[in-house]
Amino acid sequence: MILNLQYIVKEGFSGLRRTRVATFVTVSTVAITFTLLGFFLLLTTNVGQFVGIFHEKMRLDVFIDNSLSDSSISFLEKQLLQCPGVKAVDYISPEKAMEQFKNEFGEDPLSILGENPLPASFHVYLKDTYHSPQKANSVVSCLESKAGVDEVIYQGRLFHVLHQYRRGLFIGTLILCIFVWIATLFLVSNTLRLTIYAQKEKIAIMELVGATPSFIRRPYLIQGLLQGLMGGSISTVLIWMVVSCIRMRFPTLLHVSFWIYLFPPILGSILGYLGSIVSVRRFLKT
Amino acid sequence: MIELKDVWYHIDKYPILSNIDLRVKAGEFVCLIGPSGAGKSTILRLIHMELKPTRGTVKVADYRSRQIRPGQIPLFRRKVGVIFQDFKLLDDRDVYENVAFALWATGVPGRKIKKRAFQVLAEVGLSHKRYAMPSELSGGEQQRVAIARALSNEPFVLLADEPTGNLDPESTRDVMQLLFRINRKGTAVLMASHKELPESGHAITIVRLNEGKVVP
Repeated sequence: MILNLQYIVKEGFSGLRRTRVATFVTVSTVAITFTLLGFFLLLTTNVGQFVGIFHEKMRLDVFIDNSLSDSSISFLEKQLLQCPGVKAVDYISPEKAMEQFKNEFGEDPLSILGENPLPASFHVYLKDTYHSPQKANSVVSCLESKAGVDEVIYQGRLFHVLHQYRRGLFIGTLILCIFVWIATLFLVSNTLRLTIYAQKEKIAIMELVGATPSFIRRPYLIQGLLQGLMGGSISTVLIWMVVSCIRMRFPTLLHVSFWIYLFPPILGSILGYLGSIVSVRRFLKT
Repeated sequence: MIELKDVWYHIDKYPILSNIDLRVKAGEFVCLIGPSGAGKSTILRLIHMELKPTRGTVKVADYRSRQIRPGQIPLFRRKVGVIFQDFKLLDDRDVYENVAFALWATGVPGRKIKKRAFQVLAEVGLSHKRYAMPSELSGGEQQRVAIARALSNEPFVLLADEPTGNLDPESTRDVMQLLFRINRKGTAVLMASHKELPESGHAITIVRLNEGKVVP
């Protein structure tokens, strides 16, 4: 059993050697497509994360008329809460706004201007289901319609752009995924077709002496798996090198999951194996 | 042991074999003689279960052409050795590996392969050339390697399709002597030849074929 395994693996490797050029083309194409897919995945996950963080921190700044009395402010707060999609409302008095300004920028406008120029405002937080650009816009309209509201600041455009990028990236990654599937299956299957063709005589002899079809097929399945594994592993090295370069310059820029490094060899092996099954079924009539 | 009963084989309705009745008993040496296109190789391929008769039955030991399942064919072939005019050796492997390959392919455990391969190479008188490549051997020696490979799984019958067709007279004599020796040890031999066999003193049953029919 062990020796048979040894034979199968040895034959799998010798198949790679016999079709060096085709194997080289297959392995390098698999490596390139997987690397591209890896970068797309990196980009998708990082933009996704960025959007997620943005979602969490997302709020609308509702600036109000400075002349409103305390009771009017309380009334307005209740009215803002009634807008569909509003999860919570925080009143920020001009004094509190000044404190936040000092904390954020380290400067005191009072010492320069002699008075507090910051208006009172509400921080309005949205419900999770209202994070899409369309729904957030409907909340903005509702808030703007309330008496006493001067202006609603909403970074909708940036949010919308990020959303679109995220969707575009997701679709791009999906298309690339499908392309990688098809390309790997096609390439591996084609290389194996060449191997099988080159070894027609050997296969015929194996059939003559009574080798079982599964015994004849196994080295080719291993060969396909090896091609996918090699292409995927090279891709992992390439992704790791690029990520390391980016991190050297921008240490906190990228969020890199462990799976980004693991998926190319795993998926490559699976696709290589599947490609060889296709090929063996089509071209090996034992 | 081998029995063909009213066997017909057609290609596109054209009869290649017609009404063939043939029996090969255990330990017998049978030679099919006939010109090219007489159907000799087709009979051997039917016996090897590469082809199925369009009519009639081919029975080899307990296997019948009509009943044998695809999964049984490899196991059946391990018991039927076969050699050809063009030897069909693997050019990129040496003599030992050519024989060992057949044993590997049939799942013989690794520790037994070497012993058995050396044994059959000794039987055909090629122990001293076990690490030579096929290209370094004469035609007769290459055919002996093919015979060693065919014998490696201890078949009960050896099918030889024009085994001396590519050989000079001296190598022909050597290969025939080897086939007689194998036959004397109990392995049945069914050989196809387009030439008459020279007088050898060995008991041979001759079956003459012409245009796909057995002729007297």
